[in-house]
Amino acid sequence: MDQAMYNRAVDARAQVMLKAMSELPSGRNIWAVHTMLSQNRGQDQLHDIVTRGLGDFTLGLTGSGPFQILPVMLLLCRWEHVMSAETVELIRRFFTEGILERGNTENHWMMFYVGNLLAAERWPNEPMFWNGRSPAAMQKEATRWLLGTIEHTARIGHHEYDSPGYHSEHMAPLIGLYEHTRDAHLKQQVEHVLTLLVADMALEYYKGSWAGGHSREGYRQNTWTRSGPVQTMQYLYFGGEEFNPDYHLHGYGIPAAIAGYRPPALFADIALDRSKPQVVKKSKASRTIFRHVDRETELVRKYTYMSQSFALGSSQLGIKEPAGPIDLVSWDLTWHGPKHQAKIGCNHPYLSPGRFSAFLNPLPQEARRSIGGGKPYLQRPDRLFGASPFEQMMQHDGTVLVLYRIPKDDEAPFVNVYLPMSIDWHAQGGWLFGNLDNFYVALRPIGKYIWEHIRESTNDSIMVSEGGLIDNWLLHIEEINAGLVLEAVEADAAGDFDAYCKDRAKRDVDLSGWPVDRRVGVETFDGHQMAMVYDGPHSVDGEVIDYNAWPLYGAPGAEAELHTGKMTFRYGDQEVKVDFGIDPTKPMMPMRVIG
Amino acid sequence: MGSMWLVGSNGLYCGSPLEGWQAIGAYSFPVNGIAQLGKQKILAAETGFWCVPEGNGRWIQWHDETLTSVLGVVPVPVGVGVVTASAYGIATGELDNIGSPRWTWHSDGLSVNARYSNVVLVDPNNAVRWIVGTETGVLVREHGEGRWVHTSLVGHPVRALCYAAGVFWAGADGGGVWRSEDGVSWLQAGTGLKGTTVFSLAWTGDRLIAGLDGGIAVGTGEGRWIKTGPNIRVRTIGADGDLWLAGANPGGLWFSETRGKVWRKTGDFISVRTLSRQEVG
Repeated sequence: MDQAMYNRAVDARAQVMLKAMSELPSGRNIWAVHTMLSQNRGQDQLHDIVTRGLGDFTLGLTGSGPFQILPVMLLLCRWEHVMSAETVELIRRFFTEGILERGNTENHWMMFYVGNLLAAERWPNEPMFWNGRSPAAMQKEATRWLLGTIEHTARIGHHEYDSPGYHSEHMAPLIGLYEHTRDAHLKQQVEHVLTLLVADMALEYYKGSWAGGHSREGYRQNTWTRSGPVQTMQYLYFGGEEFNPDYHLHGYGIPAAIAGYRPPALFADIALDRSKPQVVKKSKASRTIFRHVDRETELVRKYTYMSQSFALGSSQLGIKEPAGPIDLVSWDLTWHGPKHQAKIGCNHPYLSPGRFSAFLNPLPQEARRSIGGGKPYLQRPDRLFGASPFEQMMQHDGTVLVLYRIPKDDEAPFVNVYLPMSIDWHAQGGWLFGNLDNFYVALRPIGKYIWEHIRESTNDSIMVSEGGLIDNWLLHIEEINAGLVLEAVEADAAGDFDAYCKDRAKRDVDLSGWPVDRRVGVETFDGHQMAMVYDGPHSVDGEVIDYNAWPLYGAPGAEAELHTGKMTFRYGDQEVKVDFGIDPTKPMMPMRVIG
Repeated sequence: MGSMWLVGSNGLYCGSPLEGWQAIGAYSFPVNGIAQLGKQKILAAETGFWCVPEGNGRWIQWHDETLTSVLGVVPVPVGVGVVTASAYGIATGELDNIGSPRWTWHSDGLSVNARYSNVVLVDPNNAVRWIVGTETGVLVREHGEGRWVHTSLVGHPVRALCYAAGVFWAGADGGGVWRSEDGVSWLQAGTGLKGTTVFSLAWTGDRLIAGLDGGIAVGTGEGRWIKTGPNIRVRTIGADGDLWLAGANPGGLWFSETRGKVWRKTGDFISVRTLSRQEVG
C-alpha cells in the first residue's frame, strides 16, 4: 500500500473512532473530549471537563500526576483556539501552582515529561513552575530524559516493552510531542522512536492480538485474546478488521486518533500479512531490578513464531531469584478466537515477597502485604501471569520447551498450565492434543499433573477495567522439577490429525537427563532436535543458540543490531531506514524507572 | 517546652507530642529522610528530592531526571551541600548554569545490592568520609579519594546508622546491632538481638535505642538489650532526653516520656518513615 492510500485509510478509521467515542459518556473526560471537539461539539462543556479532570490540584492528596499532566496539555495544544480564557488560565495554574507527581514507571515519566515540556514551551516566561523551578529548567530536564529514553530504546530496546496495557501510554505522549513540540531535533528523534514502537506492534500483530512475551500484560489479562488499550492503536494503524467499539475505543487511544501523525505504511502490511510463517527476534531492555541481586538483569531476548493460524512466542528473561516482575508474561500460544478460548500458557505462581521489594522501595518485611493487599490476585496460587526466576525456556519455530526447577521450600511448588475448554482435548501417551481445524496443538506436561477447573472473576477493583470470567481448565503440575513441551503445527503441514498425534506421541520427550543432569530434549514435528540444559546451553540440531548475538530486531523485513541506532524495515518494494545518530561510545542516561 | 520534631510521613509534619502535629504544605509525597541546611529542610522522598525553603512555602525541586527513590540525605561540604542515598546509589549534586541541581552518581561500579543505599552517615572526623548502609552491608565512601572501602559488616542489609559515644553503630536486617571504631571493622554489639532486624537507631544521651521489626530495644551496646514498647515495625526512632519517639510503618507515631517504660500513640499518622529533631537557628 502506498503512503497516500494508507494515510487515507487511517484518516477514515480515525474518523470512525472519533465519532463513536464522541457519543459515549466516556468521551467526556480530558483524554477523550477531543472527540466531541472534532465533531464541533462540546465547547460549552470543556471548562467543566477540564475542571473535573484536574480536580483540586493544589491539595496534593488527589493525585495530580501523569494521567492529568499529559492529557490536559495535549488538549490545550490542540484546542486552545476554542477554549475560554478561563480554561486556559486554569491549565496555566495547574502547571504553575499545582502539586504534581512524576510516578515511578516508564510510562508515568513519559507522560509527565511530555506534558511538562509542552507546558514549558507554552508558558516560557512564567517566573516559576509548579516545582519552584523556571520553565527553562523544566524544559531542559524533560528534554534530557526524553532524548535519553529514546536513545535507550534505539540502542537496547524499549524498557517497558511490548505491553498491550502500556504501549499506548508511550505512543500517546510521543505522538503529542511529535505534533506540538517546537524543538526540531527532539521532534525528529520522536518520529524515529515512534517508528520503532509501531514496528514493535506490527511484527507480532496477530489478528487483533499482540503475540509473544510482554513486559507487562496487565493483571489476569493474559488469557484474553485481545487485551489492553493498544487495540485502539492496532486498529487505527493496521486496520484489517471491522470496527468494534468494545475493542477499538479507549481514551488513551484518542490522542492518536485525533493526531495527524501517520507511521510508514509498510507496517500495516507487515502486521496483516500472515501468509508465510516467520520468526521474529527482538532484544529488549529488562525491567529494573534494584536490589536482592548482585548483578544487573540481562537484556530480554524474544522469539516469536508468527504462523498462518497461530503465533507462539517466548522470552529469555535473564532474571535471578527473587526477581519476578509481577505482570510480565514470558510466553504463550495465541490464535484467533473468543476471549479466554484462544490462549495457552503456563506459569509458576512465584509468591516470594522479594519479587516486590526487588523493584519497589517498601521494606522487604512489608512489601508483600502493602502491595498484595491492594492487588490480591498477585498472591493467588492459581495465578497465570507474572515471572518466576525458576522458569527457563527455549523455542524453535512452533515448539517451545519450558522447564522449572523450583526449590523444595518454595510456597508454590507447582506449575499452572492454562487450557481453554473450547478445545476437545484428548490424551495419547504422555501427550494432550487439540485439533483447532487449521492447526494442531500438542502438549507434553513434564511431571505428575492433575486436571483442575479454574473459575475466577475479575471483580477486584484495582487495575482491572472490565469483567471477564476465566472459566477453563488448569493443569496443576505438582512437581518442583516441572516442565512443558508445547508444539503447534499447521494442519496443512501435518496432515491427518490422528496420524499427527500418533507420530507425536511416539517421539516422546527425552527425559533421560531430567532432572539429575538438568537436560531435556525433544524432536520437533519436522525433525529438528531441540536440547535444553537448565542453567546451561540451548541447542537446535546440535548448534548452541547464542542469545548474546541476538539482534535488536531480526525478522524478514526487520534488521537492526544492538547499540547502532540504525534499523531497516522492508515489505515488498517499500523500505524504511531509521538512523538515530547514536554515538555508541557514549554512556547511556541511567534509567530510573521500574517499568 | 520540649523540642520540636519533623516527621516524614505521607508529607512533612512538624510539632511535638504535647503540641500536636502540623503539615508543612499540602504535599503528600512519602518522605524517607530529612536534612536541615540552615533554615532549609531537604527531603528525601519516594519520587524525588525536595527543598522546603524558610517559611515553609512552595517546595522546590532538587532532583533531576536521574534522582528518584531517595531514601536518605545528610549534609556534606560537597556541591549543593548534601549527599543522597537512594535505590540507585549515593549521589552528590552541582548546580547547572540555570541553577538546577544535577546529580553525579558514585555507586555505579558496585554490585546491584551494594548500590542500593538505605542510609548514609558522615564520619564526624572527616566530612568527606561517608558510612553507607546498603543492601549488602556497610560500605565506606572515601569521597576525597574517590574510592569505596568494603567493611566487615557484610551479608545483612543495613538500614540504620548512627554515631554516638565515639562509636559508629549499625542496625542490620536479621543481624541486630553492630559497633565499629572506624566504620570498617564491625563487631556485634550487646546480646539478645542476634537474628533480629533493626531498622533504626538513636542515642538518648546515655544509651542506645533501637527500632526493631517488632518493638524497641534499649541498651548500651554492652550486655543484654532490653525490649520494650509496642510490637510495631519501628522504621525510625529519636530521643531528646527522657522523650523518646518511635515512628512505625505501618503503626504511626508513638512516644514515651518515661524512658521507654510507657508508650502512647500521637497524631493521626499511619506510616512514619523518618524523624528529625528540628534545629533551631
